[in-house]
Amino acid sequence: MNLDTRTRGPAASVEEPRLIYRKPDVLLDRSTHYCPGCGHGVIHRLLAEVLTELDLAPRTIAVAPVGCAVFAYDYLGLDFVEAPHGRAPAVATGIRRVRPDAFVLTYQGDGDLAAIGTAEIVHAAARGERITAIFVNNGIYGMTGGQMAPTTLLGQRTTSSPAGRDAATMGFPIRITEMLAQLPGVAYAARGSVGNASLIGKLKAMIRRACEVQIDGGGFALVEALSNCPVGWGMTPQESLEHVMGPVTEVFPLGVIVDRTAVDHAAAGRAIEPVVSPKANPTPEA
Amino acid sequence: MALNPVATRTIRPPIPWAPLVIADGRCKGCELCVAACPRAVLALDRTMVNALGYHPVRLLDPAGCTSCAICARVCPDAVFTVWAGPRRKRDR
Amino acid sequence: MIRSEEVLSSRRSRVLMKGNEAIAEAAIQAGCDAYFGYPITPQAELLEWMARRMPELGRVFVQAESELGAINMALGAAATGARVMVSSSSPGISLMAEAMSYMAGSGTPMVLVNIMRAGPGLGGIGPSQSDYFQATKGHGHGDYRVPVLAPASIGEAMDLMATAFELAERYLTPVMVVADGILGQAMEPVELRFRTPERHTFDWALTGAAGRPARIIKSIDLEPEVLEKRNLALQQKYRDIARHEVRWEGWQLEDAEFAIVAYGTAARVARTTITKARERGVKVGLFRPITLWPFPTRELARLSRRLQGILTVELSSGQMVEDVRLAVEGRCPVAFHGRMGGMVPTPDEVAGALKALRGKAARR
Repeated sequence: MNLDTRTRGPAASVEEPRLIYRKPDVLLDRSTHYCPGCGHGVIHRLLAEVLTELDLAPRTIAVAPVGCAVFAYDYLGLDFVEAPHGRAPAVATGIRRVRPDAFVLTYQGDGDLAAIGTAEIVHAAARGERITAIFVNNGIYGMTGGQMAPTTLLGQRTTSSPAGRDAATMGFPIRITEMLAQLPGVAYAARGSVGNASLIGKLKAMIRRACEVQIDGGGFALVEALSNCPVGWGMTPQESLEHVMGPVTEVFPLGVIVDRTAVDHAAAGRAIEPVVSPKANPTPEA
Repeated sequence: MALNPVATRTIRPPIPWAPLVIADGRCKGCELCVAACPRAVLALDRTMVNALGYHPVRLLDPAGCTSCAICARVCPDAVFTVWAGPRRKRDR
Repeated sequence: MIRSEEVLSSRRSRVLMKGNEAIAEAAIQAGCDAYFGYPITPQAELLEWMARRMPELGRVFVQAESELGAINMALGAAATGARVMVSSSSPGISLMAEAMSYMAGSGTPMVLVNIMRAGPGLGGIGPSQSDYFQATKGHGHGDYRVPVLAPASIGEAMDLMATAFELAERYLTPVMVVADGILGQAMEPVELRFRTPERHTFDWALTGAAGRPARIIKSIDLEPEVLEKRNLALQQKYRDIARHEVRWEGWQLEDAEFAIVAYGTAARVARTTITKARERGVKVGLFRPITLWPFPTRELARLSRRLQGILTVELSSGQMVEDVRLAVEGRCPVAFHGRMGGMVPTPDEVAGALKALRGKAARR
């Protein structure tokens, strides 16, 4: 029996407005010191969204780097400890070992992770430390004024490679995520980008996966986020994103580089060849 | 990417109605949203300067906004809160 | 090598233990939650003892990739309020200067044990006291000090491990315990008597910000006015430590005309010299600092008023002797005898230096 007594006709009722998106509370209501258009802001926001969606924020202990994101703890409402430059994976190891219940997160730039901190990230990965490492790769040292980074592209001008990076004296950019991916302790390693809205969505999915890997007890999880530095690169914000989606992505291909979570952990340790996506290992070019 | 509303406290839709609420005090005028908006309804308001010293973004044409939230996705300063407008519910 | 099971299940109250292992066990009994280390001679046995015992007790042991890794793991673990220890020897301690400065700046408690060996550089594995400057003058960059404890016997080293954790947690600072390679490697009968300092709940510890405001542990303050305030607070902390935590031992000083100032193994050599000198009627005693920082300046200054001379003996080129001279302020002559490179002064050498000092004092 139909008890609906509403008058039938065209404009019978109006639905309430629906909230589509608002920023999560764990991303604090503060303007950041990052330059206009800087990818750090996007990546902080994605982290905040993922931690909120997975309800991890209350038990997160995070490690801040030295670099532009040195003040990350002013923008994300989490328990944070400052690490000396490059040491975040070791600091995170100490936290993880004494606090098995915590969710442990590191946030590092390209100098922090791939220059001064190379030993620390390699060994945290080798030990399969149950941490989630966020690696923001913008191919430059922003905080100290725009010097060359290990991931700076060949020919790229920086304040310490003013004539452009020259392989003969300055070496080649390092694809450190591919290097780490071949360690059996790495459960998940992926590379995403902040280039446009669609890529940002995919990056968020990688960050989410890297957090889930930790919750599921999988092992070391790393997400490399190709990001921009408009001021350091001498470009407008939009130009800098085009640069990320173009030349940077050519050198640092996007995708899941390794995902061992479906693989038997012990068997992976015995194998010599890692499970690595062929797409992520292009032939090195000069 | 699912854009789940991640608020833990209730907030009310803006009055007067607009699909975007912009925290223009945090906007740095980077124009990534202006470039990304598929309906080209965003632009910097060059008649004003916020406390940070930038021209903040403004929604030029609320009726043209489809609440796709691409602006919110690309914004490095999380200035956007996005609402989908009231709509007529059609009876069968 | 003594097996841990043999030692700990011994019904004897005194057992023979190697210094490194005794120090490790004392730290464990003092409630050490986590140990991070890297092998280096002459303290590898400390790490190995920890590798066996910590997992037995369900506690944390990690052999890090380097001393740099170890000290930074300790920084992270200590930030959560855990009772944390690291050990190394001189070259490894050099690598830890950065993180020690960070922890001093942020007020993070932990204990670092340096089983000193000869330097500089790779040096040798023989015993040394040539890290005195490094330990007491603030090792890493910036205006800071750490309390430094210097045992002269294995038994004292065991007791000082508990003291080290107490000081670290009372004052929220890293603390160093310095012993030389002889103390680390020697075996002595020790009492199996341990102390466990009480636990604190720290309102700064990182545990996950559930139901409370987020906590940040950092040492940075870019505004000079703010950083100066942080530094002033640190200096006040150091004055408090200097007022309350000086430790030293005097032996045969009541009627002494001369004193030997020495710590650690040098003090043991000096004791032999003093015993023999006393047999010949020389009125000499031992002033043995136990805290190298805060140095017992006031106590030594007071003593120097009634002495005719002071001989400082170190396994170095002469580092503590500078603090001795500062304390004595010229009231009496201060002489020095030392050996380097892993050599240990003999009682006869010290006796010779003492004789020369007495001669010089007589000619004044």
